[in-house]
Amino acid sequence: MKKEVFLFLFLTFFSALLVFGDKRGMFKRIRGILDQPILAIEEKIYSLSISASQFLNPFSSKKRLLKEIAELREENWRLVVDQNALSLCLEENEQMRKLLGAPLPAKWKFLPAKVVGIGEEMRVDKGEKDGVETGMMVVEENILVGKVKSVSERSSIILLPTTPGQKIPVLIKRPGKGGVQARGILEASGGLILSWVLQSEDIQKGDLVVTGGEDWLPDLLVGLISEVLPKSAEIYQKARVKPLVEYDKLRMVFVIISK
Amino acid sequence: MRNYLILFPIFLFALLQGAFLPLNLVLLVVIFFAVFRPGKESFLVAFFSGLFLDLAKGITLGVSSLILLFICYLLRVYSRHFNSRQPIFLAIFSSLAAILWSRVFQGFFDWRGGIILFVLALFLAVTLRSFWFPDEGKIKI
Repeated sequence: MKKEVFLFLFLTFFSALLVFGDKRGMFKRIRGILDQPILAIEEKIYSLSISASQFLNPFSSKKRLLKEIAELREENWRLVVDQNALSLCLEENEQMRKLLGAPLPAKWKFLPAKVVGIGEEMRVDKGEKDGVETGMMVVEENILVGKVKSVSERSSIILLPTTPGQKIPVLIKRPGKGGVQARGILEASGGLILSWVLQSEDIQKGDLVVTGGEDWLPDLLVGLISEVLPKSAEIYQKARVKPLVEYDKLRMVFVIISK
Repeated sequence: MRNYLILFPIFLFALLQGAFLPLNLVLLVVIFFAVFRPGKESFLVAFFSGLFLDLAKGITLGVSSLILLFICYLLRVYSRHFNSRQPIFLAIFSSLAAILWSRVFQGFFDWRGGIILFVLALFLAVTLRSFWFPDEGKIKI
């Protein structure tokens, strides 16, 4: 028994030393070497899990798919209407660019990163070695995927909008209509919930939710309002938000790196 | 030495957890190992399992080891006074440990994961007791 207690204390002390050393970055090189094969295996496992879920999904959720098709039809019809407004804006934008005579500043560059694991957070195969830093934004096209939480030599952990405890300041915009409809905070609690929106502000199903700045890059798409929750006696109203990407189905994302 | 072969499936579970699996199977295996193979091996297995998990999940090295070692020590103390091989005890302990684990690492209580682990642990404990340890008498759930 004494030997066991001694071993327990020794291993506990050793583990604490490891934590301390790793926090100080003393094992960066060793972790970098160990991470290489682990990331390669995890990437394969992750790809397999996505393929398996895609294969099994049609058999298990026909009803859900039918519902999704109906929703997509409705959304498609709305998009056709918006398309018209958008094409006018594009034309105007093109003319403005010509007038300015300058291309858009290439301030940001995108670093493609493979997703190697997902849970409440996402893990990608790019790290410090590739120029990733804590706090950088991660996107898929112009849709927000998350923010880099921690970086090791060859991998990074990304906080998703759906990670519990995550709060993102957002703006609500109505497709085909200029300006900001409302402001709020996007919280992850059993799905994405838009809260802190004043009762006086007009939000409705189908409105776009985009990042509102502060610690986040502005104007990145996050999702669509799928349901405005019944108004209560509170000062603020709430809504359910449907993300524009399925985070657990992503294989590749882009880290926005400043030059 | 043969006891340490358990580290292979643990490594595999750690990789699965790192890639996509939300269930804490490493924790479950370590708890069962500590109960059914008590001794200094259980502490070493807990330590290495924690390292595997930290590497697979990309989190700070040693954090999971610390928690797993503490869990093993709790089980060790409990088994000195009570029968820790009781399936119901194992199921409750595994489930609570998983829920607290999710609170520490993910910042929320993962009740769903805890319930699934409860069922899994109960099934595993009953199976282990009836097939590998039949001398322990009748199963009392």
